[in-house]
Amino acid sequence: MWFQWKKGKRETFEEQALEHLDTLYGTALRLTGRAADAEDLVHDTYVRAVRFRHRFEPGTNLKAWMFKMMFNLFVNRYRRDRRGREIREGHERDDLVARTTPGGELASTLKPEEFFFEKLFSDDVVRALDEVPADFRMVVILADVNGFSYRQISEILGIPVGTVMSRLHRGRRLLRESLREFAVQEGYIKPGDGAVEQGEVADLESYRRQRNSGGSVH
Amino acid sequence: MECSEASKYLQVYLDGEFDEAERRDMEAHLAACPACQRQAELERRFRESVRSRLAAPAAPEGLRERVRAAMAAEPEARRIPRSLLWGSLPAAAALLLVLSFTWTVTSGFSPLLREAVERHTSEPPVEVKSSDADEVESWFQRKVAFRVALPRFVRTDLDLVGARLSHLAARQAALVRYQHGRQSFSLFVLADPGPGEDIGSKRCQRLRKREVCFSELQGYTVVAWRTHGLLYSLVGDAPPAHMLQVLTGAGDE
Repeated sequence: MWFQWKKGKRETFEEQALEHLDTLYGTALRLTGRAADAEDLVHDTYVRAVRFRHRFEPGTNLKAWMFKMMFNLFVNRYRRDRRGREIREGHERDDLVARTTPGGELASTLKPEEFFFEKLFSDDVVRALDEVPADFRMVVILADVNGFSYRQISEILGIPVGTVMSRLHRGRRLLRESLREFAVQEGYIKPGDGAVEQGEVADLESYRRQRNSGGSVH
Repeated sequence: MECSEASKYLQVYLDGEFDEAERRDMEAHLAACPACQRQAELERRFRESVRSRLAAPAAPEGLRERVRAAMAAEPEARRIPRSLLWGSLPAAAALLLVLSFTWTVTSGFSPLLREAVERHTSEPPVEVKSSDADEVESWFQRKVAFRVALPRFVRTDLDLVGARLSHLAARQAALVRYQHGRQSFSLFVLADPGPGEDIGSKRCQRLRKREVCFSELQGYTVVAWRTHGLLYSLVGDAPPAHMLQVLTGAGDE
């Protein structure tokens, strides 16, 4: 009798997990950039989920739990070998962006070339995202495609919220710079147009500390 | 709120991470400042265009069935018998040990253990990725001057992730990475420098013929022991009682 009940519970878990299949697959596709790799990653994520389902606490967010499992697998399997190179590339690209980006005040009117990204096709954006190193790409995908909160991303990737914020900041800048390069190649804008502002990485904790102490915030 | 501040925290605001009061401040500033309003508009449109262009297709036909079949074929959970290395300690006795442990912060942390914690927290990438202890042991052959022997932990959900070469107290060491849920553990194995090397002798406990010593530093616990000419130290961001469970398998379902 009890095993039937247990079997039923397991099937419910599997069905609930399968509700997230499309989202997981779509994310895996953006992560790996290849349909075959995405399918394998999703397949293995589900196998692992069932294997470790006793660790899932009912009532908590199953989608986030599945994402965590998938990102762990991705990091261990697809990314590890290229990690050193990617992180280095990240710094180098950042320096490049910083060097080529004029600073200064924002102009007071909207310029069409600033909205160059609206002329780009889906394929361009997918290719531009691929150019963003994996550490930053992962955070951008979780936040901007899947809409997870900083806290959830921090839990999925096992990194502090502050790191989520700085990677997101840098990842978005890198993506925009990469899109700008595509737009220049395609002739939508002239080189030098739509330059990416570097901006400062926000530190929410110190902002709140200073806010609460009534001091001026910077 | 000033422009520099608004600009710095614009992303946080758009990400919906501001609380009610912070959001009101930002919106008051945006309403009064055309330049920042413009930046916000640019940012919103950028996000929307990226989001809509990255919307992915649904999973291909067949993947759902493949996944369903694979899940059905998977046994409930992996169970490894307790009889391996540490595991023959009766669970009840181990549990008693867990319950009877009380801890205070250790002062006078040995430099070797301190370095182990530092290396654990810096999380260097593994050089060999494997969940197989034999494979990891053989990877170290000819790379280090001693034979690396890994403990066979009984904890069923402590996953061996991989390993790399490392150093502790200017000595060559094998760094082996384990994972348990969100927690990661680093095991350092090195040729035992001898009894002069303190491994936290203040809090030691006999466990299966071995004396294991526990130390705590900055929220991390180090469990150290010596056997067959090797010195082991296992670092984890878990309390000592939890680390003991890892070693004994007590608390497993």
